[in-house]
Amino acid sequence: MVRSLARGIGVITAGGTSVGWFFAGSLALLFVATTARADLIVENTWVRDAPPNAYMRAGYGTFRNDGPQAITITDVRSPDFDRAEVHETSFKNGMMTMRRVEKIVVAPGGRFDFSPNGNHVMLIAPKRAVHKGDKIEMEWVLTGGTVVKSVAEVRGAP
Amino acid sequence: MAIVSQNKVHIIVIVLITLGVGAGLFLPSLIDIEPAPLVLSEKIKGVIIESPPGVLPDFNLTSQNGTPFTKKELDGKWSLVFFGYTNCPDVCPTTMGTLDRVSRQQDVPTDTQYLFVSVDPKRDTAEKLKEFIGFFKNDKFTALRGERAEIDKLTEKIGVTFDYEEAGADGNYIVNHYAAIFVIDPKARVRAYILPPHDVARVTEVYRAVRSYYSG
Repeated sequence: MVRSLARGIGVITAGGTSVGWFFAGSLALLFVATTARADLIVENTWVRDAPPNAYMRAGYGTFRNDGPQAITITDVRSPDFDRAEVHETSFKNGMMTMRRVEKIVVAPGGRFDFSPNGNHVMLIAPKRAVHKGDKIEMEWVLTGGTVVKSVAEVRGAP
Repeated sequence: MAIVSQNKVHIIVIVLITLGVGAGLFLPSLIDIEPAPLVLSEKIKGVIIESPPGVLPDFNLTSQNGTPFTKKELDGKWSLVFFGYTNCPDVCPTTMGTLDRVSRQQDVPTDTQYLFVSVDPKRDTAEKLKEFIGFFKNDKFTALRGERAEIDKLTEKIGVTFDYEEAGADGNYIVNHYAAIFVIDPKARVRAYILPPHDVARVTEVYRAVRSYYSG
């Protein structure tokens, strides 16, 4: 139980990941939450700074699965963009191709990285001008319909 | 008499040696003898040295300001060139960001020009190029566009392939494209290409090595 609590705090401080549930007073509820939902941690998130009206821009970060079961992410959306998709960049003989990733499976104890020249969230058709320092919300839809939210700041590449 | 003729022989020999050495020194630069291909350190992967180098064809492009940009603009300076498109969310801004940092390295010659050539002339208007390239706030950067035929002429010659994916409902489409950085010498010749993914240290090291070797 103590471990669950610690993990819950870890999630809240991990940077923008809100999973709900944690504010529930009951330890029992907390336990349910950590096993059912809190195991997916979204961290180190950022969205690439680009011209304010860029039609497409990329978001990056890391998924961590701290739980005992595989987690499958089937969709992503952002209130600031018409559409969001996960894409994988790959290079073959110097040719850059992007392929849409339909689902992401994060193994227990595993992680899934989004980084420049690799996997990225493609944010398409902004509903407003996006500037450096803005916070972009994203919602990750898990198998079964659970939604995990994350927030990413718009900034230049590290 | 004998002494005089010996002197004459000496003079002739000296003249011949001078001519020989002179020719040896100047001929290679006159007829551009290609040196042996540069061999890079084994640690550096994913770089192709073009030897002999491919010469770029004549081309007619325009910059983000609408000013003409032809092969002449490559004369007399080294250029690092990348082909992409401004709607590109990941690789193009990442690569231009890398080139921006390369250009600010202390050991990278400041007279280098950095060119972004659009392979999506339909969407990449001068205005779009200006917005994209202006974002990097680097006065050594120039973005270029041209008629499709001009782009094809250039890309076919140096092996830059690209294709457009089917447009989505919003008319938007992804462009898959060759994503190497080309190192072009002051005679508009492709000296090397650096395959992706790129990092600042590798691009800097390769560019410096290629430039110093082929400048000699």
